[in-house]
Amino acid sequence: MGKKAGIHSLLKRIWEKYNILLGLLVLFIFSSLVSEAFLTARNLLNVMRQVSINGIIAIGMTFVILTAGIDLSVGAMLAMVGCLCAGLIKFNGLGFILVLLTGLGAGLLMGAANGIVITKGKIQPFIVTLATMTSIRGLAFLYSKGRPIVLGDSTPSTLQFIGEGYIGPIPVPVVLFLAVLALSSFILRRMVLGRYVYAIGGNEEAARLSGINVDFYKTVVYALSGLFVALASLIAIGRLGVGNADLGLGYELNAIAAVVIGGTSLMGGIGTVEGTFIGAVILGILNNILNLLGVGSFFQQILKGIIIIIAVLLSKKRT
Amino acid sequence: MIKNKLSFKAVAVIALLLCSITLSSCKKVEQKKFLIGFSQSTMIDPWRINMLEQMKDAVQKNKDMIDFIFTDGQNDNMKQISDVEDLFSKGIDLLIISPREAEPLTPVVERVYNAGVPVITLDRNITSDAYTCFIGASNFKIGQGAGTLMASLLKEAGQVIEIEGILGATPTIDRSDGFHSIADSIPGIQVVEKQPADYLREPALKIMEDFLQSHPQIDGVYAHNDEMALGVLTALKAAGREGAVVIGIDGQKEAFESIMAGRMTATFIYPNGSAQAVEVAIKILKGAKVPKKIELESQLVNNSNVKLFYNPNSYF
Repeated sequence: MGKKAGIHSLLKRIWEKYNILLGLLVLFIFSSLVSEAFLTARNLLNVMRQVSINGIIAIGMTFVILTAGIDLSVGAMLAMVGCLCAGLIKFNGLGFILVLLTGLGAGLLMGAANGIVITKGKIQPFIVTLATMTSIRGLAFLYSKGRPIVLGDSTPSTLQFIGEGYIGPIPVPVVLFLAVLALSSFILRRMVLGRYVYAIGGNEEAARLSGINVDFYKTVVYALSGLFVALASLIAIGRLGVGNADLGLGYELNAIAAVVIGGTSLMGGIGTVEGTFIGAVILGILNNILNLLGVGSFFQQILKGIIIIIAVLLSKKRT
Repeated sequence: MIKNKLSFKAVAVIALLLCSITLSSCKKVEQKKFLIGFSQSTMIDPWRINMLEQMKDAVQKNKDMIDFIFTDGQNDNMKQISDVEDLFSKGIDLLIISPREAEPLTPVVERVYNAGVPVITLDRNITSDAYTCFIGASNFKIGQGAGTLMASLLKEAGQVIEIEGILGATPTIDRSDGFHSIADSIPGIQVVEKQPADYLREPALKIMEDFLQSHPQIDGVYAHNDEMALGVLTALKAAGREGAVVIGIDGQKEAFESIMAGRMTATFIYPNGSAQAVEVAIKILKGAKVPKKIELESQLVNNSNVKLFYNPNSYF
């Protein structure tokens, strides 16, 4: 009897800690069984490449959500950085390194601007980033004059490598995704910034009273989100060969979905980037297997919503 | 004990489920059919839903030799690239794609084509020649047609409003450029306002209401599609200024009805080519030669010929 109870509580502990991972595992096994096209190296690498852009954005979003914030402007920033980089290449003839630095810098600045307005203006992040989502999207349209900035053959080879290349058998976007994951995990687990992020999200007032410069660290977090978005944007234009102001419409919702499926609480303070990674992969596999099975797109959207609810229900039990 | 029974039941249920899944995936042993994959760029737009529906109809007529699977790019280039990759993983015998945008979709279509899968590009093409056959109509020519018609109906003088589709989208650019290539060359025709309404009726209605306030004289309205033209008509009617020439594009059933009622001036049918695509696909799969490009002709529909084209049972 005692032994049984022991096993039971052990199973419960495992379930509580790893239910997202188990969810991924179940989805993976199910997918392998129902479609012979799923479990092939080519398909799995495709899926991983498909999730890289959303994954990188979602990891930045995780930092923001851990501080009990939200960043709705990620899709617009993706478009802005994409247009800017494509424009710098096409109209100004800039080399890759300058384009890279300007692009990342632009993402960082836009993110920091979000953070400064939120902290100094004391306005809710939802409202601020809702506003900047519109303005930045408008700026992208203005800069590109509403037309796609087509790079075509003038795409720098390094940029193309970032979007389309391989390191060994692994697509470069996947390598970058994993690198961003590792870096973020390190920041959250081992660095002061990470501790403060959890502290601010757990109880902002307590964090402030204990001497943490809350405004500064919150701004850093939004800047980090902008920076990651900029990286995702470089991958996107490397892949697409075009900078377009309508890039990333609705991507903020995909990113938030990955974060939430990954078990991070929108109330802040609880969650991990590893969870977000799994959340992004779950969404990617879901897209992939529903396509492979030929499930109609309207049904796919319904199902995705249901999965998000189920995931949140599961992670709710945990807390 | 009860727990054991429960878990036994659970295992049994799971085992049954797995068996049925395995069985169902084994059933396709019969005669080998061709699998055609269709990558649609978006399903928000009724014109594109109609394209898919008519394609399904065409497939249904040939269901003894083809299976059909489709994906929805959800108006997102990245999503559509993923879709094509998924269709390719699935092992399709032929790809029909209506790319959301040419440049971004080109590399992935090239990969599929170079791997030996024939490709039909529908409505919009890719930038390289890595495809078997392109089927589509020219938006630029339709824009020119609309420009010519507007100029002649207004006797080469008048103030015109242009309601654009989605900014930056290829058909918007072509429908606008085609129109301006004619309108801008006639000094009497002035395009006084130009605003996007995303091919949707309700935004077009609002924009038109604003323009009716700011412009005491409006002689003509060129809308990039019928849906927006219908919104424009509602605004004109509400303002009691129904005299203006209103030209749309697409050939939507409701636009035909409006033309018959004498409210809308004209529309240009923008054919979706899905029936032709299935026809050409079957030819390709049977090994026959097909032309590299099939240009679909547009058709001007006005009060004089609308009855020939109106079909009350049409999806669109």
